[in-house]
Amino acid sequence: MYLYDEIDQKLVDERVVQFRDQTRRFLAGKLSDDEFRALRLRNGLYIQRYAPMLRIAIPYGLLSTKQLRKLAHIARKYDRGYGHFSTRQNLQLNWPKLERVPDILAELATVQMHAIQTSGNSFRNITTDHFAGVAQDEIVDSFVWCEIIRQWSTFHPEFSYLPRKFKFAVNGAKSDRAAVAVHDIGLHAVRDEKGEVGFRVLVGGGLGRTPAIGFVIREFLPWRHLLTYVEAILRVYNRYGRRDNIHKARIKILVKERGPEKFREEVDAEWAHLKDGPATLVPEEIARIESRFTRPNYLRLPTTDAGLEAALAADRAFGNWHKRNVHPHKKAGYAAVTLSLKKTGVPPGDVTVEQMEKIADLADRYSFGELRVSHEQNLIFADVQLSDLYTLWQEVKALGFATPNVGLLTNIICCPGGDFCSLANAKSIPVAEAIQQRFDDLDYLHDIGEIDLNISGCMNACGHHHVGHIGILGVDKNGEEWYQIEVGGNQGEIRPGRGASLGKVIGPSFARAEIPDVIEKLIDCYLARRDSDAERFIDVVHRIGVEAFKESVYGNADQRAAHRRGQLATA
Amino acid sequence: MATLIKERHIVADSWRLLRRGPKGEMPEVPARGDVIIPLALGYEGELRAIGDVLHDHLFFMSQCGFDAFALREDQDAQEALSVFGTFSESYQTSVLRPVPLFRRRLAAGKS
Repeated sequence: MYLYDEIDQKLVDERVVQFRDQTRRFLAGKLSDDEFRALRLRNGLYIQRYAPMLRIAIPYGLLSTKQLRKLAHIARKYDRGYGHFSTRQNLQLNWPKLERVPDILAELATVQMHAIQTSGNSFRNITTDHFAGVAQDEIVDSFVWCEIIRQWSTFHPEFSYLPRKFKFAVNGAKSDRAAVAVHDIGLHAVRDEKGEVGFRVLVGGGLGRTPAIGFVIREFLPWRHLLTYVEAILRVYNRYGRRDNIHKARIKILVKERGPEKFREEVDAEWAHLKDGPATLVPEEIARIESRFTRPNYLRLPTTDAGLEAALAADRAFGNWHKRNVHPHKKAGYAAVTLSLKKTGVPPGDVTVEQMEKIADLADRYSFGELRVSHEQNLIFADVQLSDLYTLWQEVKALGFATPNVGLLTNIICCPGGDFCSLANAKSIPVAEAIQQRFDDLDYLHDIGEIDLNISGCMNACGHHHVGHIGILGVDKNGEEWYQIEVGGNQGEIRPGRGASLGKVIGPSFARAEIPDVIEKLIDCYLARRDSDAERFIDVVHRIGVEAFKESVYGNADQRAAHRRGQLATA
Repeated sequence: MATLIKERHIVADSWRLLRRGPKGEMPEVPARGDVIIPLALGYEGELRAIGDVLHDHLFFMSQCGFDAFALREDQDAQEALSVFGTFSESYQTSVLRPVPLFRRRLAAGKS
């Protein structure tokens, strides 16, 4: 956990004072709706379908149990007793009262939390690998770099009124678990031949209505230049990014319109003013940030645990959970554990305050009082002793968070959708639930193997449907809710050789009731064509293309034409 | 005429604001994009913000090098004077603090 120093704390306290004053002036009629809107948004406060929505920052997804208990307290006192963990690793409250938000921020500040830049045309919460600091394939601890960028981006005077929102991801391991290619800027840590740390810098990726894979603007940026180089990119974007059309305002559009090479030249020209200047990082600063992170006091343990082996042999349900929800750790005798927030019947990412408090108790007992929020909307206990796994599983199971589905079909990423969000064209949570109900046989799920299924209720793509191996998008057709299916998206190079890709729409959209059948057809198509169970759904899509999948859903070209004629005849 | 805040005081404005002529012709002023150039080239004269200059913009604008603000007419200039101290520190480099916090902290620790 990064611990604030006096200045970090003071800035957050001063933000509370500032926002309290802004709210006061709005309520006193001194600020118009539009003027207050721009101010409240950069503090994560939306006016939603039924009530305001407040998005609280969880920087790079890392939380202490003290903070989680405070979030539970806030959700109980100011809201309706639950919160929603989002794909940006943040927590959203759906029912706070506008005039109480300054009090909520003041409470957050007491546990080194805030809602700074969680919305609006600003530099948003930085996201990273949920296994940062514990992954076996670690190159650097990405938390340290995220914190350096968090500080640099907080209240940056030049970049507080960008053309549009700006999303930043850092990956510090060999596998990309941070989806760096679909962010405005993505950093992937690398080491050069001398062992020096640097970053591969990707720019112009993103989801939303114009999805794009980021281009590599620099293969190796030495770490000292990180801030000056990122500043140069932001300057070019801030100066030339479009402010006349909200749909063309993201950096991905600028990169596309100018072309990556031209964009790189402009960044280099700007960088010439900044390179080796005062913002060039120094080893002392990296060491200072590192030293402000508390570190688990690991025990020296053997690499295996006899009790664990015995439990695995004796208890098949535990074995299933262990296979999917327990992950390797760089320290001998430890493992990382995913608490699945994807139980059938519960909106993905939703947690009640009672559950938050129980999770905090478990994290205190089993994982050094810390946890992480993953961008797949699950919670991670990063540092669990192997000898504790069996008892932890029993406790987590009693809470309903032991669904052994991490990486499987029912581990659905899903936005709040039309049930909560005023932007949505369609509901998304009932779709997730219907799919989870259809695929409720655990053996079958494990047989289908690793697959990402993502659902967004509108083209803003908060549910990351473009990078789901199967993506579902809610669309509006004459006031009715319909769903488009995409196949072949991939969030990033989690497995070597299969980089990020965007899904392709396979055909006309479906009514909600048809979706489980459609998914079943796609899965059957995959199962019939895979070489072995080591070949995942996405691998088969890349090997044989989407046509076979399309046919499995819509029939062959002749059948599709006949179907279309039938539709036209009845229309 | 808008109220002018200059060097963090409310002052009388001696400038004449150029407006388009009766037939819409432009007055002779530099094009809008040129405001970026003076600071990069070491310009040290007044840099004045005009237009929709609002209370809540002043802190960031002052950090970026604006030192005079012709507030929009409905703004309370007296109240606006308080915002320059909104944040007591900043992490980044800016026109007002050209050396970032981490270097200043390091220098303070060494001395």
